[in-house]
Amino acid sequence: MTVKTGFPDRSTDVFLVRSQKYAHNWSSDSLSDSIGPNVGRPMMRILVVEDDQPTAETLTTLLNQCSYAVETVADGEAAADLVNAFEYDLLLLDVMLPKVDGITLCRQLRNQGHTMPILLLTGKGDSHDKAVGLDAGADDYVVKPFDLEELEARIRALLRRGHLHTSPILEWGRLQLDPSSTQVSYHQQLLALTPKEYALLELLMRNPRRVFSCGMLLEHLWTYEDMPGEEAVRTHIKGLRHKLRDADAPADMIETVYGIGYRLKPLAELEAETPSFQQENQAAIANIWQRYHARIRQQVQALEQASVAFQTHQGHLNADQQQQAEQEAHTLAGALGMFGIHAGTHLARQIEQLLHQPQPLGTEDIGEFQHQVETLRQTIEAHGPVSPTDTLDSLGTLPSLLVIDADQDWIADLTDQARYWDWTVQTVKDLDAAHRSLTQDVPQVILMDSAVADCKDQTLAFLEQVTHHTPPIPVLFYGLPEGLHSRLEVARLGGKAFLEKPIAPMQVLQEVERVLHQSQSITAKVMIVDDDPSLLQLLPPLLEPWGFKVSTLADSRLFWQTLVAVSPDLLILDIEMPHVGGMDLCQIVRNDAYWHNLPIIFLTAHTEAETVNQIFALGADDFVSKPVVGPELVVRLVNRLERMQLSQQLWQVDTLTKAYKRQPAIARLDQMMKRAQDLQQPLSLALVKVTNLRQINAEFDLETGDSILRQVGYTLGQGCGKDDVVARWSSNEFLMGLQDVQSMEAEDHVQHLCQDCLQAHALTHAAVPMHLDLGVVQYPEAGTTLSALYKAADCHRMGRQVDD
Amino acid sequence: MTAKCILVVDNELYIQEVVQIALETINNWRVVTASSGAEGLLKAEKERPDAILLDMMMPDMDGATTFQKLQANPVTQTIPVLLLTAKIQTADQKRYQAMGVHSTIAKPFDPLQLPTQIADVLGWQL
Repeated sequence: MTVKTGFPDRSTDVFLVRSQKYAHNWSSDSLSDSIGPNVGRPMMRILVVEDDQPTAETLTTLLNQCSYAVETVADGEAAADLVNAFEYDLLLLDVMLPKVDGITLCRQLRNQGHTMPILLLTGKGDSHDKAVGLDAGADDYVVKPFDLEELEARIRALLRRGHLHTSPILEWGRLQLDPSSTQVSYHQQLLALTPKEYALLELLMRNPRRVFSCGMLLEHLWTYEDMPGEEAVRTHIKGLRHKLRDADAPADMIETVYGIGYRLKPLAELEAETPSFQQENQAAIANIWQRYHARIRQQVQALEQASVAFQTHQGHLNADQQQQAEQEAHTLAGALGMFGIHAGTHLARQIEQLLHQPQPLGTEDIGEFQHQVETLRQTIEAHGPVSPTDTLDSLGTLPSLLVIDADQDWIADLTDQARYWDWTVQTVKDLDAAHRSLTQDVPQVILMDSAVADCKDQTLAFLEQVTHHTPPIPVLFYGLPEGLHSRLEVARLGGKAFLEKPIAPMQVLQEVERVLHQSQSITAKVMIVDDDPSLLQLLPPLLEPWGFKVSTLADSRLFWQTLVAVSPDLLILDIEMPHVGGMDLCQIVRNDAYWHNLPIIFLTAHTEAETVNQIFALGADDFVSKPVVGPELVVRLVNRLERMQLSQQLWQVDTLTKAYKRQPAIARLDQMMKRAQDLQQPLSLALVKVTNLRQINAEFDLETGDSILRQVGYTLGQGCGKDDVVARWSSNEFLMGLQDVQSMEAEDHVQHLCQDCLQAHALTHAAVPMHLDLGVVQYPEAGTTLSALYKAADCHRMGRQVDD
Repeated sequence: MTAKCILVVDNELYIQEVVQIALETINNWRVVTASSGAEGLLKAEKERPDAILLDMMMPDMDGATTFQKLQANPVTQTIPVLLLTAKIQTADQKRYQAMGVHSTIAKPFDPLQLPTQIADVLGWQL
């Protein structure tokens, strides 16, 4: 089962390492980052084929300085392998090479249809050699010893030419990119891009009609040693979009192609669109209206006072009052239309004219004046002060982050960075303010400096509030290592991560993104059985960007062994196949004791009621009609998996204590043991027993007993790390598996949890005595099977009563 | 093309702000604001804007007087002045022309159209 719930699996560790690495890249990027000429060189992938170590090193250093992604290899054969496996934007090729020489390799590659520019490097400088090299398919030729500046310029020229661009300046609508100066502008406005954003944009602009998946972008923009995860690409795309939007370019200039990747939005569509700055301007103007609403009301009040004065002084106003009223009416007439209140402008103009008439006003005019002022007031009130949320809504809601920290400088940095991640940040200084803030706005993630809480209890109370929120709000802590240092403790508090200070805002935001991503993403194995080879080719690239791991099978006779080998979370079946049809396969699966719950989606060209009824009768979960529309299939898959996840939870979890039931827990614990063995990690098992449950049930009532069990299950669950498991082992026993924790540490931790239970219990059921026993053992020292471990833990437990 | 600089003289702050947003975000022009005729005269001389948007009806020194003073100053007399006015009757228009203003822009204006309007009457290319 690889469907991710809010609790991530172990792969996050790998991920973390990656994202930190990536953070490092980014931050070094941002050091050199600024507008225009200072931006690093375009990030293109170059393969250097050179057997002479010093030359290879010199080239690598030079090319790295120019921000190219460089890989080196020392012989022609290895070079051919690499070129066939990966995409390069340029080859720097020595002529004299072991195994296969440069000229031969060049010829080979051209014969194989590789079109990337090739630059030959050689010590042989006569014209004949140059001619042979060029005839072999090289694009240029540099004689050793070479001038570095010249080489660099030639590489640039080749990279331009290699993509068949006659003009060195790339253009897409109003967007311009000049590779020689590395300047990017939209409608003459310069964009301050980081080197990675620049490289990304250059790649898209050089291949304007091509769709790039995250994976392809990773391959183009990073070297293999420091390739981050796909979320890095999404982050850079986000940053780029933001900067484009800041330059009044349409933010969707870089278009997401649903389920596939990114490309430049086709020019025709770009031109047809109304520019997005209109919306932004309208929002900005709405904001002015809101800020000056009080002033505008004041102007209307001046008119109301004039109206009263006309009535009380028989159509007369004194000079001052008259002048002020006329001034206000005039301003309103000139201004309300700007805010879109044209009726208001019209009314104000009429009021102005009435004020301009010779006095005294007749009774009729006074009545008219009064009526118009009243209508004006209503018109303005109907337009209302635009609330900030309205303006936000018009721009689409952004994910929100609540930061609890008193360090103003740090917050300013973070807020600044968050802009490029499309996060809205709300900041509060302490937990009281955070409590208040939560009653108004619910953020998606909370980021908290562990130092803002006066004591642990305060932190706990706060966490209680947010983890009981539906949906629970993930909390990330950061702070000094000595504050909340233990991973267990953070997990126990319900925190999703703990980041040690000092830490860069960028790094924190990456972590925020990760946590959010985790709580949303689904990773599931999908197996597709279909005899149509084109469909089997089409579906994996469609589904993989969504986190599905896809296995395909064309020959349904191999179904069973493939199913067992793949162990999918979801099955997609074609109805009509040679040998064994989809309906038969469906029946086989439904009749199998182990697999009968596997969700099955049918792909079919037959959408008539009869067929549909038949497949549902056989136990299909859903069907999607052929030809397959990508987005529809994705939505169906996600829905199916989410529902399955829910029913799995219902099936696996004990409703009273929210701990795992014993059977599913056995499977989990077996996995944990295997994992501990594979990774040579410790694994601890803790047995917690409510020893006097029977007496409690007898002396008080079953409900009291239940409430105690609920309390214990809940507290243990809260104190559990993301990889750990808590199971209700028997009516009064809980068994916990704590991955990667020594038994000493585990005992200490669980002991604390039990004390927390007792304390909470004392508050709610002071009259009911409760006794908890605790036994902790370590795998494999105390036993290699679950039953052996349980027995050992039970032995260890005897007499180890936890006291409050 | 260097960004144009526009001086806006209007006693109402929210009108200044709307003009500013319209011109700065849509066209990247630089906007200098003044809340009275007197301030307008000072800023016109100091900033030498490419054009002045002048409100007609202001307390103390009105638009007409401000315009005359701008004309009297050799430093500012060549700067084109556009009247920003809610008085758009024919009689008013004639009076403004007689004064020698470049042209008038009627209030209320559509903020999104304002830059185009200004560029049109001044023959600027956007």
